[in-house]
Amino acid sequence: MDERELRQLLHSAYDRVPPLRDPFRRVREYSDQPRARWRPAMAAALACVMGLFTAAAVLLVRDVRSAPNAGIDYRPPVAATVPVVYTPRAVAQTASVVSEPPTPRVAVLSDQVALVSVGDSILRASDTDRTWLTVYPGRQDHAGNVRDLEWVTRDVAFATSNYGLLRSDDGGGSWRLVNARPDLWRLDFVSSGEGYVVAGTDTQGSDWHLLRTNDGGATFTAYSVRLQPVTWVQWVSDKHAWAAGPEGVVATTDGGEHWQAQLAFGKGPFSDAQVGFVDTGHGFAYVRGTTSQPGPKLYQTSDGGRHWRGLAGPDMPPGLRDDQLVVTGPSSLEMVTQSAADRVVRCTLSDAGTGWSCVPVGLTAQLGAREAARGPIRLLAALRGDQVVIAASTDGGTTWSRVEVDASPWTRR
Amino acid sequence: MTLSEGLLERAKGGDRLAFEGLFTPYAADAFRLAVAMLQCREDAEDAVQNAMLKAWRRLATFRTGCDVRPWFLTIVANECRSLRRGRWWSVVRLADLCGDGASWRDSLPQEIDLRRALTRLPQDQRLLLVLRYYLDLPFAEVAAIVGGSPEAAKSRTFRVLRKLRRSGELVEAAAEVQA
Repeated sequence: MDERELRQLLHSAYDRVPPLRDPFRRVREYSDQPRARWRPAMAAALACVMGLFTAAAVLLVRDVRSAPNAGIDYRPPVAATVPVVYTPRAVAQTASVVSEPPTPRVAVLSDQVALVSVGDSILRASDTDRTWLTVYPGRQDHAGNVRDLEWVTRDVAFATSNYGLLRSDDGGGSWRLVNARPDLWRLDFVSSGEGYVVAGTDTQGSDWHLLRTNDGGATFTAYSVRLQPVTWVQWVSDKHAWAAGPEGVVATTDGGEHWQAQLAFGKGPFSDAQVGFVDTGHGFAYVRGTTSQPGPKLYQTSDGGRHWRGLAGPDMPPGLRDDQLVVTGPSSLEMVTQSAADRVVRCTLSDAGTGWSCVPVGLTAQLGAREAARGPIRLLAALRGDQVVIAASTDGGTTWSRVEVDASPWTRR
Repeated sequence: MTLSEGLLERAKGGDRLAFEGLFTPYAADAFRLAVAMLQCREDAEDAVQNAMLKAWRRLATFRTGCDVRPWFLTIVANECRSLRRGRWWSVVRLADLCGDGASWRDSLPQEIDLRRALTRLPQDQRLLLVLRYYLDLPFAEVAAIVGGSPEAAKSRTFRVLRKLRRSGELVEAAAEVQA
């Protein structure tokens, strides 16, 4: 191929693209904005407000430090594990683990940073090129599996696996094992130091309970919420949290001092209860029946759980499994589930329970699918055999783009 | 004072119509550059709109007497880089999910091969090919956009072209176009 041929090829490929209609639209929008004469005054006012906040924060910190318990309701560790930091190489030398089927997990930080786990390997979206990078290769035997994945800050992220708690302090770029407990499932860290983890030895969740850490996951203590078993916990503020189990939902409004029952699911058997709140008032609770009867139940509250409205019934999408609640707004939620033929189906509930909309997303996933949402961004990972498909949307799920990643190194057992 | 110098001075003074008059001749080239770099009409439109806005806001820093086109195409190229670099979701689009319908979906196989081959090139190398062989810019202008001397730009462009020649699928595509 010579230069002339390349020219021809380029023109043939791109000249058919319709021309840009109005290249100055954004310039016009910008220059038509009213001139902001008030901006300097606004900046000065903002600086004053920030100064006041800083002064108030300094005074508050001094006050807290002078309090007898240093402002932290610290509970002494009970039956804590030894805090040992493992490097990935050391992980491979830890005792063999009970192998779990690999599943995908997803966590979105922003439109620039996201994580996907496949088995016990973790991928991070690269902000420099078009690839997802393997930032944590997992155990050498790949018998591990990440069970939950969560961003806490821009730098700190956690992942529970069947061989312990993994932590990243550099924005997901590298991971280390901070605790070798094999019984950790779901996690909810409120800061880089304080967090809550659902733990238990039964894979079905019959003995799941809550643990609390105050040292970034190095040690854990038992934490009671007056509910047993517990399959889900979510802290929305430093005072407000909800926990759910097959029995129902409990909540605290005083930072965990007292937990009160808010909702009973009724006659089961149920499993895998979940709660999802977008603020201290609006949220959903969801529980699956372990058999066909009773079916799944979904509830909604708009007053922090004082009143729950049942949404379950004939409108609930039938015949679904491996579903997980993704709350996207005060009255909207999504579930990515699988139909009987392993087809990934995305169900959205956008008008406060009056109607579900379920749409197949054109993927199959024998080994599970997960979705995460942040603002209008949706990230979906579906694992089928030796391949994981990562799909992304920036418009709330209306249009999707996707990339396929060979997952065979991590899914072979 | 030439017409374009007059427009430039008025645009620098905040005359938007003068700005539009000055940059209208370059909008088509900017859009073609963005389409070839981003392989996506919507992203290309986004990049050109952003580049126009940046040019409008930074026009005061533009030195009178210099050529406007390479200055503006440099902004467009940087916008394309930012779009590709900035978002993890933008780089995993499939062709059929990004485009405006028939014009892209009806692509010939050899055009798809070309887009694939270009996509595999690093962005700086792709930029060289697009500037030289699609926009037909002289090497002096290519150098002003990518940086370095015209000789260096020429030598780098030929190196990339040699690299592209080794791509078998593109050789076949070129043969089909010839046929």
